Amino acid sequence: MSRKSPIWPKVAADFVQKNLNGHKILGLAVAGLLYLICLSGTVTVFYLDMQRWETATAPEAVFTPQGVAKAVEDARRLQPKDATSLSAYLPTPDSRRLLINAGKDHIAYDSAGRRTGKADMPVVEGLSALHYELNLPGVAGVVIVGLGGVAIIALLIGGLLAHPRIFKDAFLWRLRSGARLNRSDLHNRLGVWAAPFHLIIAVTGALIGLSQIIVLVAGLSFYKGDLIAAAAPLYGDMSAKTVAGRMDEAAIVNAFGNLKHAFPDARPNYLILNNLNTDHESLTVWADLPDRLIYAEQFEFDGKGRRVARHHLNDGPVGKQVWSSLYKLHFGSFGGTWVLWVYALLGLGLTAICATGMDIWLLKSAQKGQLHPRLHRLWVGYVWAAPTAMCVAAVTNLTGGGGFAPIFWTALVLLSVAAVGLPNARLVSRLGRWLLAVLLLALVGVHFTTFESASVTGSALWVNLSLLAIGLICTISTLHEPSQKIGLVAPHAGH
Amino acid sequence: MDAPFPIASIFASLAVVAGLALLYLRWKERKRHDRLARYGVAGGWGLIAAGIVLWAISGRKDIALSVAVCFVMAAALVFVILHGLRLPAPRRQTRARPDSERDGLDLGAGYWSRFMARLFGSLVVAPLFGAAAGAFSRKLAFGFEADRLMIMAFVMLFATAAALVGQLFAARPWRACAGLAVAAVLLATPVYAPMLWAS
Repeated sequence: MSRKSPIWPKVAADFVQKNLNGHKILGLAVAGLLYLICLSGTVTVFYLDMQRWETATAPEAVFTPQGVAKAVEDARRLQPKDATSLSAYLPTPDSRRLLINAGKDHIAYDSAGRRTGKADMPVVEGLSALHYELNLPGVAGVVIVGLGGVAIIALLIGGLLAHPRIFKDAFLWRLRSGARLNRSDLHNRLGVWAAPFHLIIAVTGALIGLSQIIVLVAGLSFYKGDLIAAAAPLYGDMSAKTVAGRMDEAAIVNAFGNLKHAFPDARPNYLILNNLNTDHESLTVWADLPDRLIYAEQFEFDGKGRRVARHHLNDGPVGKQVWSSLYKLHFGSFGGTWVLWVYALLGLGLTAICATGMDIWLLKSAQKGQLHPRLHRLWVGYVWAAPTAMCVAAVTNLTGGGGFAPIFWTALVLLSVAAVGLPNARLVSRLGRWLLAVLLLALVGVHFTTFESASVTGSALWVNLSLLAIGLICTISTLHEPSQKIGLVAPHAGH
Repeated sequence: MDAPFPIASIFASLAVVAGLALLYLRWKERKRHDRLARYGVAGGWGLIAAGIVLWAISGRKDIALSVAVCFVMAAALVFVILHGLRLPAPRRQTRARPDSERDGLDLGAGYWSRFMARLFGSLVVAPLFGAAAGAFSRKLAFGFEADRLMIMAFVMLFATAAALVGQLFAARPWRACAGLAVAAVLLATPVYAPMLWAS
């Protein structure tokens, strides 16, 4: 029987090797950064559920124009003296919270617009700030995270070019064939099959993170330095300029009525009251449109609640619609709960790719006699310290102590460095998982102590059960660890 | 509340799973030379494509395609996981083949020079190349301003990423740096030269 020649040309070994080296250099350089970004991103996929978890005693609210108008009127009194605007998160079927910002605080209201108290969310906000700006001040963090997205694109390109066995190994995962083969197969299979997800996450994340850089380049190159003019084609018209007095409750209700009349399917999710306490107040309302990837359409209303402008994010040029779709594509908030779960699992996969990449290099090096035992313990310690530090910061904040960012970063550094003092990487991994399991249990316990019966209802219940399930998986994984022989092991390999 | 998926989505899901199953079978039995071997790959990808098209026309506008791709990825990984769980542990520990001599970080002569070249190239030259490529694409693009800006944004990203790959791929990174820098100047000249000339 004649053998058919393969349809794919043979890739030169030299080409593959160079791409692999380049992939390795970049991967090793940014592994720590990308791991943290991907892990925090995975956690914040369920941002709205965690928001409800952290404000478990805040009332569930449904959107009513009268309730929102009353809440806005009440919140005026709570604004700082120098505030020029007032912003509110409106209740949606997913969020079920009416929250109005007052300085650094969030104030919760019920459906009828009655104030129920503060609803601060230091844990959720700390986690999302960790993801999109690494808790760094100014634009530095956002730009670094955006560059992380560019690095992922480069790693994806280089990784695929360095994978000549991409079809031969299409479904291969040698789970029980030693640590190195296990991790290599996992790294490659996740990298290939979830490549569309990685590409979308990287591109949307990079565009969101580098949006200011992009506008800067466009502004300097084509708009004579006018950055507002450069951004206008993508963001649309600015807020209404008509002078129609102060917006009272009736005007806000009128605005929502006009919106409902023109766009019956639109679901308002956010508003800003502009030019606060002036004679030319205006209202900007963001409204989600069903079955669209755009985050929201933006509507402008004058002081009497008359609609004066729309940003056409929904039906404007394709470029504008694509720009408006970045957020939902990045966070998976477009297809219901099951898409969020797919995003979370694929996000966990991307996080695992970051973790296994460094692992593979360390294990390969050990096999060749190039040992890095301290680095190996530091890396494994860092991998488990990151989620553990998140729990430490969450527990501390729920009990009323400290800011999220300082506690998280301190715990991350201390736990990672402490791992270096342990005898081998496997012990670091086991201890890391046990410590994480204990802290997850503590977090659920603290949540129950803080919120009592509210912690076992609605979203809070599901979040707590998920935290317990993760802790259980961590514990079970240490009890049923498969043999992790790596083949040739040099003395003092640190395993 | 999201509307329930129409019936087309169910058939779409079944087509995707069937396509992946066919690909998996073809991959597992790749030593065979029968109809499975002949048509397995094309049939598998054809079914997956049909499933994606069915999702896309299931009536949920622009989210349908995104949902379809998510489903394909998740389903494919299920096959990988199931295969991994089914594979028994080898009776003898396979000794991994040693990598080629050129693998790993080469700390030989010129290491630090190459390191500096790669660092400079990655942090400075590649982003500048990306910015120049983006600006050049915006100059060439036509249509609505928002479309031209988005093209510019995408080109900036991918050009920077490609430059990173090229920079790290190169055996002579200083030459790669220089090449990218020259390319950046060539792309930037038509964009900025008229401005500089006018001023």
